[in-house]
Amino acid sequence: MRVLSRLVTMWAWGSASLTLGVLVVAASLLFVRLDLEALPAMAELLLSSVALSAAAVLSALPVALAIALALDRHARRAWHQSAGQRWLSAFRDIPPLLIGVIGWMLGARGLFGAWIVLSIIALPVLAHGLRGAFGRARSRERLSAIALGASTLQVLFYVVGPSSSADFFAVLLRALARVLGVVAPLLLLGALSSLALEVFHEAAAGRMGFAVAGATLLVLSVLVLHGVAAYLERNVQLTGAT
Amino acid sequence: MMDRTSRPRRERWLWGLVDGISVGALGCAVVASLFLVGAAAFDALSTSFLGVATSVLGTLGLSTLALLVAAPVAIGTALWARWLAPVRLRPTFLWLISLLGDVPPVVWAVSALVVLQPKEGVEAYFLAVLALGAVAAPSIAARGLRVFETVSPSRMLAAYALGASQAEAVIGVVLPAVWRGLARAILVGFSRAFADTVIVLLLLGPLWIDAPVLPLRVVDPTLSELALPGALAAAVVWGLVALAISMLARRVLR
Repeated sequence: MRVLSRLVTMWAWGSASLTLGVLVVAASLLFVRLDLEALPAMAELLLSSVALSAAAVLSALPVALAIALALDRHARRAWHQSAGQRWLSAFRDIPPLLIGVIGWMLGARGLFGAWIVLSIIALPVLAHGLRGAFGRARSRERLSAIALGASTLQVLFYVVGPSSSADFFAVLLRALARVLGVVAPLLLLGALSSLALEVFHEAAAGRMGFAVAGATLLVLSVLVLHGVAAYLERNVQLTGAT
Repeated sequence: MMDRTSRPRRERWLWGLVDGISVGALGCAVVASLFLVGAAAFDALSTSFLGVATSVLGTLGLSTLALLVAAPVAIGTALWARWLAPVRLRPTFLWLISLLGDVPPVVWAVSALVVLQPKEGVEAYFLAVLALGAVAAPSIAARGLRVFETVSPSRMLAAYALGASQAEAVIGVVLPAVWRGLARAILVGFSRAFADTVIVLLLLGPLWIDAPVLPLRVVDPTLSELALPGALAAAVVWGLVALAISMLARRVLR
């Protein structure tokens, strides 16, 4: 047992050291290869990429909201609930390229096609996140509102909405971060205003300085979006605790 | 508050709209899937099934090798961050692991190209294995951490009270209690590696265009278009296998 516990300790320490070592080496090599002159051009692409992704997420929002509300409303009916959740999970696990292939077959091309396909990719992420956000509203508060004579719509507006508003924005930011990093479907559709796609093209062409500049901006923006989302979620939990 | 007399009617209308949109979205997804499967079946007639089957096996092999690299390191890192890391540094490492899972795959592919600079053939294949492992590892580690957090502290305290060291408590108490959750985390990482496209296109596309993997059968990376014929059949088979893996992860090991 003593030998085994030593082996497990060495395995855990070795794995952690390897992970940190690889991260440090990769980050320093990326920093060395970074072409600072490429940053302004990549920053412009980042802005257009964020605009495209935001448009896609916002256009998917009404449908995702409806799906999340329908799942929340039918929460007590086990069959509806499990079928809806299964459908969402399956939809989320489909490779994004497959959605791009469907879009390509239906004639989606260019910026408009990219907008539609990115909306469809964002849809399950949004619906799943919003369902979770609505589910976090306390059942005790819901029951109190119903006991006071509120209708289901009033419970939604006056109880569920306010208690899950920060979670709602966190879900939007996470979906935006997810859509920002999508490359494969856009490769088929030929959307030019995507930073992730530009990183792919630059790396494929061997211009690693440009690719590293774009990758750095992409990582920073995704990390900022996730950081803000995590802050919002934590803030909600703290408010709930007090 | 709304007018009491008109409330039920308005609410029925609104909830009808909500249900209609959800059922409509489900219907659109079903119609799109049927359309794709039909087109793929038509497409499959003009291509060899052997080629698609070889690509499926090639991609499964690539993902399995990536998992063999990623899973021990990811589980070990999660174990260290949860039980063995210095207490003050623990939240920082937990935050770092969850953030790494959000890095887009194209960034891992560029990092792999910069760090290792591959040559043609098998070397590019193993570089793709490493990059796919880097994509799968953070998601395995993050899920592994969540699984470790489900172990009740009282169990650990009971093991300590019986004279076990921290490592002995982990071996004797934690690992037997969470092996199903860890297996599920590994399967989710596998499905993430299997569904990834960009790494294979970027690392194998220019260096080994004939590699038997699904992404190269669906997309021609040099022309940025569908690698017809047979692309649709390969895409549908790819989607079905990816769904089967993730369903296995969600259902069988629950």
